[in-house]
Amino acid sequence: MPDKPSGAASVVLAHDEDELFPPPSWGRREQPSRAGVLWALVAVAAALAAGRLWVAPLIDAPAVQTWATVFVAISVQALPFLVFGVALSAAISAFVPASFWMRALPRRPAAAVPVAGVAGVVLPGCECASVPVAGGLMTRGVPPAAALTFLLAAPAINPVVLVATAVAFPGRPEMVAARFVASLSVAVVVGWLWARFGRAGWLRMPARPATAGEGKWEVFRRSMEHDFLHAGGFLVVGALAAATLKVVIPGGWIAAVADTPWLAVLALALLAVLLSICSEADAFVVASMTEFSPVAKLAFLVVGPMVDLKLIALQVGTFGRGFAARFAPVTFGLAVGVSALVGWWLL
Amino acid sequence: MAALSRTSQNLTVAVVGAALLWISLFSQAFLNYVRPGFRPFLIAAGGCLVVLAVVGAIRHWRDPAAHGDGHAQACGHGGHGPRAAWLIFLPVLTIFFIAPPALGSYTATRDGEREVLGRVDESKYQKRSPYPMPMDVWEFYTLARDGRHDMLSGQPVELTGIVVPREEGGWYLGRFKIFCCAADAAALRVRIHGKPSPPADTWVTVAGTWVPPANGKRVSQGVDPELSVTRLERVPKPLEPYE
Repeated sequence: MPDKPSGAASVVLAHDEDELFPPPSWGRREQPSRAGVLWALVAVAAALAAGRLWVAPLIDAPAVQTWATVFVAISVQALPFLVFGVALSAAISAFVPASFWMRALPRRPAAAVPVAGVAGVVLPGCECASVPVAGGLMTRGVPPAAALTFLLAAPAINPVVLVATAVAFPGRPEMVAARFVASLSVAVVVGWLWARFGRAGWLRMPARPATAGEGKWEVFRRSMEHDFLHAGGFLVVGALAAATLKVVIPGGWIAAVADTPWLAVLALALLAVLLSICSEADAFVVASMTEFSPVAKLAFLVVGPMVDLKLIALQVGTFGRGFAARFAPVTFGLAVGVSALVGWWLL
Repeated sequence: MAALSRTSQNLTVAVVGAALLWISLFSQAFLNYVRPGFRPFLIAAGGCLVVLAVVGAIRHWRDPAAHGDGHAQACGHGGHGPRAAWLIFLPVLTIFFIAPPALGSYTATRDGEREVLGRVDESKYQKRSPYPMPMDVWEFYTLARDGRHDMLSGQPVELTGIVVPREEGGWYLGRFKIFCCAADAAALRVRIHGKPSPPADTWVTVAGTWVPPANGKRVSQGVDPELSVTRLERVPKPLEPYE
């Protein structure tokens, strides 16, 4: 059973929940009959089957199909990570007592930040998983600065991503080292900046569904459903934008700037934001852009897991618009700067 | 009002989970979007979502007043909730209404050239054979790019891919290599000589020998590798459209 403080917290957060639950227009006032729910399910299934049978064959414009393929591919590829992330986040909320984090992390945020950054090593996955997990950590009393550092570090420095980077750059272990060093540095610096200058009002603390008096499993289930629906919608926004850009940007245009070093770094950093490629695959994509300097490639690898359209959408959904508007540009600027420095040093 | 709202939430989660299971467990459609190794994760995620929704629905039906009503009163407000939650239906609708196919010649034509990654396991191709050796397009592409005359000269190979019309005339054999999902696909093109072009996007298997670039340029310098073909046959779309 949840302890008293979490019950109190859910009361405090209740006013915010209108932001977090699907709109009331989803429902009517009447109690739904069981038959009604079944009929709704049947209607959805019938509509989807009809679409497959009659609408799908009519759509054969190659541009539309390509767009749809890329959109579905990004969504389908991200959903398992998102499910994993919200499950982990819900488990943190339901099963890990807040006191654990008090003991595990240094009391002072400035000291907790580097610890949280290095802890990012343990979350194997891409950036879609880390946003809900960071939200879950915050609701359990982890200082926002530390949770944000974890959010930035985890998708870039976990073993899965580092191994993928090593495979994509055969014989160039310095690229893996540079990625690790640059990503961790950016994450820690952003965390310290937040600890020093951040204001609580910029961050909308992720609310939990009101769960006073529920069992732990019910808290877990409701948190997971809630987070999934919420983050999932925003993930789709990001996937829409990325798919559109993939189809609209003609291949090869970006190679035109490859010869000017600083422009090349900026161009690849910007491309990382627009393309929103999963951090487990981005190394392969950028390694194939042979026209670009190693420093520009490093910028792509550092920026991608920290700032991209999909992530910005997820952050807006989880932490609020005011947060994302400040956090994303600062992170982007730092990521580009640190990549240039580390690249100059290591590559 | 939250009553059906809770039901809607369960329904949404169930539909998304079912769609994931549909493309991964009950059909092979997921191969058009992600790598084959991704299947267990899709099945696990889809299963998780369905279980989540079913448990939620059972709890709600058993005891509709347990919670949710309190929540409904807490947020008795106008309709300014996050419309974003609805958007999760979009990929599901796209899967069923557009049924996006694997990437095709449209993308292969537009994509800039790529130097593709991955180390070719050369031991597979050490032994020479008078018969065409089946090879992945990316392997052929990489060997040709690296100027491996020793591996490719005079050794007939067999490649499978789609027909990509060439703007300046003639055609390519095209194939995509993906690393995670179709959004990161790299288009590979091999210029084909010796056989007239079948219609665009037809799946074909060709057998022939590598044509060393006349001017000594390498693939990475903007020249697609070329293959002189002696045999061409139409084949059904392979289960895995990407390499």
